[in-house]
Amino acid sequence: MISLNNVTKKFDDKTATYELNFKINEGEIFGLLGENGAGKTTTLRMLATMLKPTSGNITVCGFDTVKQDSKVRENIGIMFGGETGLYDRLTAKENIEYFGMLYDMDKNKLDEQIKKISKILEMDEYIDKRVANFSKGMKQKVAFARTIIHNPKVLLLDEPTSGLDVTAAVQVHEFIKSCKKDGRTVVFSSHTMSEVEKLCDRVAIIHKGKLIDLDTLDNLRVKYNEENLEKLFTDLIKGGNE
Amino acid sequence: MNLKHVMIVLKKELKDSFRDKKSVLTNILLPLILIPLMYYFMNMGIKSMTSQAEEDLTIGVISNDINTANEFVKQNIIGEDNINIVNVTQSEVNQKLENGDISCALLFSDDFFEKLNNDENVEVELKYNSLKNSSSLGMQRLNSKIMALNQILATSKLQSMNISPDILNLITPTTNDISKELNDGKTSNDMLTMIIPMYLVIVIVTAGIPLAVDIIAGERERNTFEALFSTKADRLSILVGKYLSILIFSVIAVIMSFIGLILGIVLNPEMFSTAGADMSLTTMLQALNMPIGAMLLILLASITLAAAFAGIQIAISTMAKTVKEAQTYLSYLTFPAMILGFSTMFMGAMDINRYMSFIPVFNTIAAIKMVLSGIIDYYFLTITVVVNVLFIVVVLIFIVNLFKKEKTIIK
Ligand SMILES: Nc1ncnc2c1ncn2[C@@H]1O[C@H](COP(=O)(O)OP(=O)(O)O)[C@@H](O)[C@H]1O
Ligand SMILES: [Mg+2]
Repeated sequence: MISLNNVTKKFDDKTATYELNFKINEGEIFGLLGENGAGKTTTLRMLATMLKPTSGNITVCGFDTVKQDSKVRENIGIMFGGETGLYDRLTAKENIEYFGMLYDMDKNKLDEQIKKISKILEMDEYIDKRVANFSKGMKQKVAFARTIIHNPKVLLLDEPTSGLDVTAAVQVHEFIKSCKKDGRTVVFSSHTMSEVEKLCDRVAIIHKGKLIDLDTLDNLRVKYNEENLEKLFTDLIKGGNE
Repeated sequence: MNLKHVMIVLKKELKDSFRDKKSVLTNILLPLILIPLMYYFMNMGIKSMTSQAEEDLTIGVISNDINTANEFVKQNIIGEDNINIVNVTQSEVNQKLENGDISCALLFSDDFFEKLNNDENVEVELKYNSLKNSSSLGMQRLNSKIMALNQILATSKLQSMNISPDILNLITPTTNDISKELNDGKTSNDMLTMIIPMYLVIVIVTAGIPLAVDIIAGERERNTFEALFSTKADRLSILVGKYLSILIFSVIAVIMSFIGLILGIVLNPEMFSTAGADMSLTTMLQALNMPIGAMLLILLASITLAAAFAGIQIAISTMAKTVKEAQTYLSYLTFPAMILGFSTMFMGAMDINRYMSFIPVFNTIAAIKMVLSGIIDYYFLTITVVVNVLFIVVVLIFIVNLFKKEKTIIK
């Protein structure tokens, strides 16, 4: 589904990611785990075609992120940051519609899709109200709807729970699980192992731009003979520092 | 670039901003009422000045022969005018001037009347307080009355000596303003041509600012920029859509200011007759009734300048790291417009040189000023529009390149 081949990204002379090599399978929830500054956001931005790798290449759904960026964008939905912004003066529906139209969806299909998603996320009550006075939970649902309005095969979520309270974070987790049920591939980044543990099929641990390890959680436990994954994570990072 | 995406972005930004009460207020309502309000207050100011000048005046008279002095002032200086006299002493005069009990005072020297009877030159002191408007006006009134008295005394003296009083006016200057002849009889309207071009340019330069802050820096701060750039719309389409929305907003503000300008004239017609001969409604309308070509050219100059500044606003909002930073930097845009505006303010429409048409912003202010004054120079107007268009091209090349850079979206 997604494949990174020797992906290096440099900002001026600072290396944000260094020769990343891995594949993400269709339909899996894939975690990118790393401390602040590890290179998670940079990696996701490259997947989303917003940054070009300095060297190496990436394909998403078989399309090259540099040469076929428009094709890639059709197939991805993104949510960067926990407090995802909306346009306050537009209604929930108008917010979602705007993005749908920019994905070239036709009007009827778009209406239909909004109705469907609104029902699933239980937003019918306020779908035609302006977003300004919504609660955080309501806003979050609108953001979810916006992310999947064009029915993308791949979701890229960058620390989607950062800055959120527990209830909102749980809502995000439920959303991620439902996306997997719908057959989407989800890539999300996090800096806490406990969150990754709850959701992920496989996890890539990155540190200072380098891939330290990549496996299922069970395999990691066995490989390092350590039941406590949080401890495993900190140990691996310490190892990376040496 | 995809025109459909451009239109989607444009429509959304316009809908969004028209729902913002604050921006509707500053871009549509304010320009509409600002000029009429300006006129209204200027009108009130002029009215109160003229009425003050005609109001009752109380003056103090100081003399050791108070009865003679009072009689002299009443008979020879005041005449029929509504001026009251109070007698004051040397010691209390300053205090009374300061309190406003009297507007000014006449101080007669001890030998004043004796000398006057002997046809000797005499002096009378006119005390007033220049910090008080009413005192200054009163002094001027008294002063001119004394001058008139001089004329009368001299005339009767000459007559008693059998000399024609015409000798007092051997040379009489008459003034003749040639600007009317030079401009096919159209007069310049000083007040208007001074303020309005500058005001219009400030509107052109600043009207798009709130929108520019909101839809670039604001979009980034809201975390929606990345989502927007991950849609099928390419960067150029998004940029152009946003650019056009700022431009349309600025143009609306400019048109509203023009309507406000006409409203101001129509609502305060008396202002144009009281403030001087050159300021009648008809002359103003005459000035507005300029050749259609010239009118279109200054409109075009205004719109092209607005187009260039919409681009500059986008560039600044893009380069700023935060909304606050964008607001701060964008507010500086007012300064060049003000400085260039002030520099033309006291320049007569005829002092404007052709080479000035090559200076952006300045050329547009000057063009509006000239046309409002009835000076139609198609060479100047055309160069102004061409220079503004070149200005737009430079700005657009700059922002298109800016948007190609990765760092633009990612801070
Ligand atoms: N636009 C940028 N310009 C310069 N350096 C950057 C930029 N974005 C990220 N970096 C650097 O690259 C490294 C990785 O950053 P990032 O991908 O944001 O990490 P993470 O999301 O894991 O916290 C950091 O050291 C960061 O300072
Ligand atoms: Mg990050």
